[in-house]
Amino acid sequence: MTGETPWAHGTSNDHQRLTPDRVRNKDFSRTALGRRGYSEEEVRAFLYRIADDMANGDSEKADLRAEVERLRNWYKERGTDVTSPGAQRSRLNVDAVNLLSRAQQTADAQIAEAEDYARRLVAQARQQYEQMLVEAQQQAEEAASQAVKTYRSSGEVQSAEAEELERRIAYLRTFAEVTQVQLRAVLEGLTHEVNKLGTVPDSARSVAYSSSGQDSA
Amino acid sequence: MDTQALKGSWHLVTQSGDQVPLFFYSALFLMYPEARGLFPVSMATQRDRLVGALGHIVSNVDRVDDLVPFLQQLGRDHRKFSVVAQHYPAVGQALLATLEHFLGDRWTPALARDWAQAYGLIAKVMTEAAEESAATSPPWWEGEIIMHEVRAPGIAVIRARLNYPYPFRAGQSASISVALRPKLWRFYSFANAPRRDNTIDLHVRVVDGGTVSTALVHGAQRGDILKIGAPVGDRLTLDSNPLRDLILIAGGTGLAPLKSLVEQMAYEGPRRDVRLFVGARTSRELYDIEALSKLNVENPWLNVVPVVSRDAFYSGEHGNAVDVALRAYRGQDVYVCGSEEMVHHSVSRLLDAGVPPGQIRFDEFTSAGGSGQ
Repeated sequence: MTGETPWAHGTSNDHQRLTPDRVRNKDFSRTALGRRGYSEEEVRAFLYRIADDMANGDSEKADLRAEVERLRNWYKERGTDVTSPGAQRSRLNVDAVNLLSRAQQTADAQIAEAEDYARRLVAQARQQYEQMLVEAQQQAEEAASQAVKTYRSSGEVQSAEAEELERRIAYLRTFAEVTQVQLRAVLEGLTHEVNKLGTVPDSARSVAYSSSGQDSA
Repeated sequence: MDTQALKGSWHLVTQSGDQVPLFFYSALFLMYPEARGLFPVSMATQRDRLVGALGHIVSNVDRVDDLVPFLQQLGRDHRKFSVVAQHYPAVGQALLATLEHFLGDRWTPALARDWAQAYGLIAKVMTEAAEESAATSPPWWEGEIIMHEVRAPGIAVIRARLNYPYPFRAGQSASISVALRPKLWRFYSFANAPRRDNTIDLHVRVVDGGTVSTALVHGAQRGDILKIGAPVGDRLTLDSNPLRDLILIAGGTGLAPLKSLVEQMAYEGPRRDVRLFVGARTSRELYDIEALSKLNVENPWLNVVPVVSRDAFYSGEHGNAVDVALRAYRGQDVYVCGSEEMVHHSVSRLLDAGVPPGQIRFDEFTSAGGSGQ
């Protein structure tokens, strides 16, 4: 989640900026077999829409910047005493104000959209995580009662302590097994991601640089 | 100054809704491009705040006793946004230009004079309060993170050491900004009583999609610098007169200010019986239970009760913390802190159970107590 919202950074260059290109080429790790996940096509289509919106926003903003610059120069050339409040006020052009307002609105809308997307994504992820744990607990609980049943029908000498022990062992064993499967899937996904980091092709790097270069031009 | 004319013209202008602050900020940035750097990229919430503050000022313009403390607080608060005296005339110009634009023919020289005069007074009160506080405290403190622990999924406990002495009271909070998300400020309560080593503890839970909370929990690390505003708030601080026993009800990371009260009483010596009910959804989210158990053992006057609401396999108390707390109610003062939803629910349960409103303490959720600029 961190470092993925370039709009929040202002002029700081601490993080690599997200570009339309990087949005389109974003890879996600696979969910474990049988686990619920987003439809891959839908995610990809959505990413492309975001990328298009970003690109349109960028070019619109550039046009606006140019427009504002032209207007600013126009006034600079004609302005005489820029320090007096009266002169400052007369320099205010409503078209320029509105252009700037539209650019701000575009930016606000895009940030809101991105934040909403992040919010839904995180909420979904948490639900999934909580559901996994509940399932593991349920399965473990079932296994535990099954173990108690087996113990009672075994015909051996019965004791409450031994029964509780059987129950706990079965619970923990099943819980461990179920969570182990989940953890293995997570670990595989992580390894996959780490391996990818080690082999970023040079072409991808130069693409990222050139598009961020455009951005700041 | 014709206060009725001010109110009437402001009422007319506000009919144009979001267009007004949009115009104001664009005008300001066109006249003074360097001012843009003081604001975050998204201005959506900022516009609402501007209209809210101006509306409050205009509607109280003839009640000076109410207005002056509000403006003084506003002026002091703006120091952390790097606003200085030189910025005020620029804002005044943009404000007058905006009013002129939206009022059209109604913008008479007399009205222009009234507004200019009113703004001059506002700016004077704000800058004087800012200068006064500049004599005694920095615009913000910087705190280096010296401990960052993710204790449960989405919950972190952060300790930071501040660069200057930071006088605050247990139960207070401050707005915090992290370098990963510049110019965005959010309020967090301190989870500790003031310490000699000038460190503070924060309990942060990730708000889904929340920019600052996500950066604090998943992005920030040891060595990062936090910006910390002046301490504020007296809703959750301790009263010793009258000295009554206490029930403290925490939901999630709302534990922070209540733990700081417990620490303060532990330092000062116990003079009352304290019951702390720590609410969480699952036992995994009892993220500070180790420290609380230690406090519980060390202090015979303290009784810590964890309460879990959505964990069928938890062996301790189940349900909402407020319901468990009510079973122990014997006329104590009750402090509540948690999510907005949890506080509303708990307070109405307490009132239903007959706890006098004057003995229930909680933080008000108002836009003024919200976050950011």
